[in-house]
Amino acid sequence: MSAPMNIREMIAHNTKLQKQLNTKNKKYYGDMIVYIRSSGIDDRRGEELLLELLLHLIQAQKEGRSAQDVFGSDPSGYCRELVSQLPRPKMVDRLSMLVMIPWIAVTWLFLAEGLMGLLLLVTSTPDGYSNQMSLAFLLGLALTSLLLVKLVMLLMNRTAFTEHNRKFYVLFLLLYIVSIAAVVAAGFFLKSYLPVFSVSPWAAFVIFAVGYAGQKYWLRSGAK
Amino acid sequence: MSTYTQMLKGILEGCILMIISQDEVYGYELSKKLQDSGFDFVSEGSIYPLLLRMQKEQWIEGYMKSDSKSGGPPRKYYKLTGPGEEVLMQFRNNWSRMKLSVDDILTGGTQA
Repeated sequence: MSAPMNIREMIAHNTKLQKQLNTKNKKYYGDMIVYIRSSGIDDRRGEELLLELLLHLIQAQKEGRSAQDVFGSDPSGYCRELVSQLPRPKMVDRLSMLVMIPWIAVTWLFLAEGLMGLLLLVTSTPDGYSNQMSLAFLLGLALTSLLLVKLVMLLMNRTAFTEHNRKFYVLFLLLYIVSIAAVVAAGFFLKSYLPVFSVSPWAAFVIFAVGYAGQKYWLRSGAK
Repeated sequence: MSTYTQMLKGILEGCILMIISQDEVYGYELSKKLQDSGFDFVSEGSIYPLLLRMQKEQWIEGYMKSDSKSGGPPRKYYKLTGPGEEVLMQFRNNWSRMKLSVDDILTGGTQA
């Protein structure tokens, strides 16, 4: 008996095994994956189920039965039933997501900020220039990054079993643009109340390095 | 959900508990055993929502295990818990009583 399997290993097995499916079964099963992974359920239990269903389907395919024969002609209804019986993520996992997403967004912002500052140094922009960073902007970015991830998850969940129609994507794009605009406007409004500080390119790189280390650590521990 | 569907689900759950109590099984084996016993009116996939529900009720526990001999992918096996054994015992009692009653009616009510 092997040690308990971590989530990353299960996903790797899953991806490899899917290659054994024929085109039609792959489509059916692929939609199930998109729906279940975007349903906000406990990751470990979700991956266990997906692997279980996949192994069943592969065996059935060998015996000449299709995904439709095994899971029925209403994949969306079937998956809703499965998801309704799966546990929600633990509170600590949910909180960790809420912190990790803005963390990653801010980390990469500082890389851009550092590179930009370096460019200004190299091209020797007139004196007195310093990299300005406002707290309002950082807060706005943090909020937007969360919003974007949630929206993409929602989009995947709602369209998992539909033929991907353009209207739906346009609608979500619009919604996203509006939400960014709202956040930017809020940031602009708050700017006069919140501090603005200057960050040298070197400080920005240090912040990026720390942030990146945190991101690495987080992604690794999250996949256990 | 109709009463009939619910009754079927209850019976299916009882049978699944029985199979799991006899041997460690994974999903595919379980559905195979049900089919072999003549449960061909339930679709294969319908065992998975039931397995999830029974885990939620803590009647059964699932655990991942790799087949060490073939080095194959990890499979999810199931075993019965303490509460699961009690539910199974109840099911057996209820079923024998119901079977007697139904048989009695079907054979023209010979029992007192």
